Amino acid sequence: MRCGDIPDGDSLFRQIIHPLSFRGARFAHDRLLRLYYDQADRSLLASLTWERYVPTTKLIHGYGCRLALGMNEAEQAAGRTKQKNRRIYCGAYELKGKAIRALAASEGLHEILSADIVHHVETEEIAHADLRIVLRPGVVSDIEGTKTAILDRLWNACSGPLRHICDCDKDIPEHPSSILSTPPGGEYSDTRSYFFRVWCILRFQVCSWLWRNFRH
Amino acid sequence: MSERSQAWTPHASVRSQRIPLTRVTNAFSKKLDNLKAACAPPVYNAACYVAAGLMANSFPAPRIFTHGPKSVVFNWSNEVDNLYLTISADKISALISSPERIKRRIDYSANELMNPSLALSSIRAAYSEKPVEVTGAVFDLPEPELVLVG
Repeated sequence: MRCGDIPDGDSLFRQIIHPLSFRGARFAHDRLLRLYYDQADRSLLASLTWERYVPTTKLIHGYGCRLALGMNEAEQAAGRTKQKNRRIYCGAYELKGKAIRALAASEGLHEILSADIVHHVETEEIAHADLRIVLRPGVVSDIEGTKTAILDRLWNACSGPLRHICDCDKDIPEHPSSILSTPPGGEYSDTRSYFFRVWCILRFQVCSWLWRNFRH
Repeated sequence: MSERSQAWTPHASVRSQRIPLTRVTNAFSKKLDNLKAACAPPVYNAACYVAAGLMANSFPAPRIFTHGPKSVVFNWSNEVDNLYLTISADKISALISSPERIKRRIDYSANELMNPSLALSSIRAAYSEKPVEVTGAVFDLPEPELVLVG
């Protein structure tokens, strides 16, 4: 399901899960995103959440907690129940739509034809959005090097973290959310006015009600 | 070598930063060992091969990560800039970036990797407008198991 273009000024969030985005006891900014290369489409794909459907910090973290819960259920279903397999939601980083689209015009990233974010409801999550970077045909000589350059640019463009401890993780003595790094873009700051925030929440309530009742 | 931005000249200050091999530790070796399970064997071997070149060129120990089984990335940071070497089975890509922009990207083919010293010296010189500070362990590398085939 796709509904609505994502404006340049809107925020997108990347939820961080331990241990997937960590290396040992340290947060690894190079694991901010996992870029999947679709060779047939010459595109790189990743998942984000759109602020329009997570307009409050509580909703951003709610998405992250459900994400980790789903991963833990999948791990348990596969018989992997050791502590090291436990997925822990730690918080989120913010990217602006404009910063993502600007990748296509970035100096040194000439192989990018377009970079966009598309609203794409996935696994019953209305806030899910696809980050989609399309590469020029015949230009990319080393897709792995391109991934490195994209991750470097996105890390420098993001802000945060918004740290969080889910209720189910309060038993963890040293929660990994405390070791999330602050990116070069600095701490996240919600610059929306009070009235605009109220409007965003009302819009979200209406949209999610419509989606729940009329999606089929 | 295909260069995506302006050419550079080796920086004289880098030459003075040579690290005696007697200071070698096994930290880097352990990091590489951890990659064995995460990477395809040709990628792991290529990473070991480049790592040997890094040691010969007195690079400090990098942070290491992967995008998956097809590549290994070596990363160094100074105060503001980052240097990444992305190593796949038959290619190496160097990226130098600041928070504001990508400064340089250079791709090397497999043939150029057969003798990596020149390429690595050039990359280091390009990155080290200031001398590279050695803050962590230096290298103790496993023997490369395979020479790259182009």
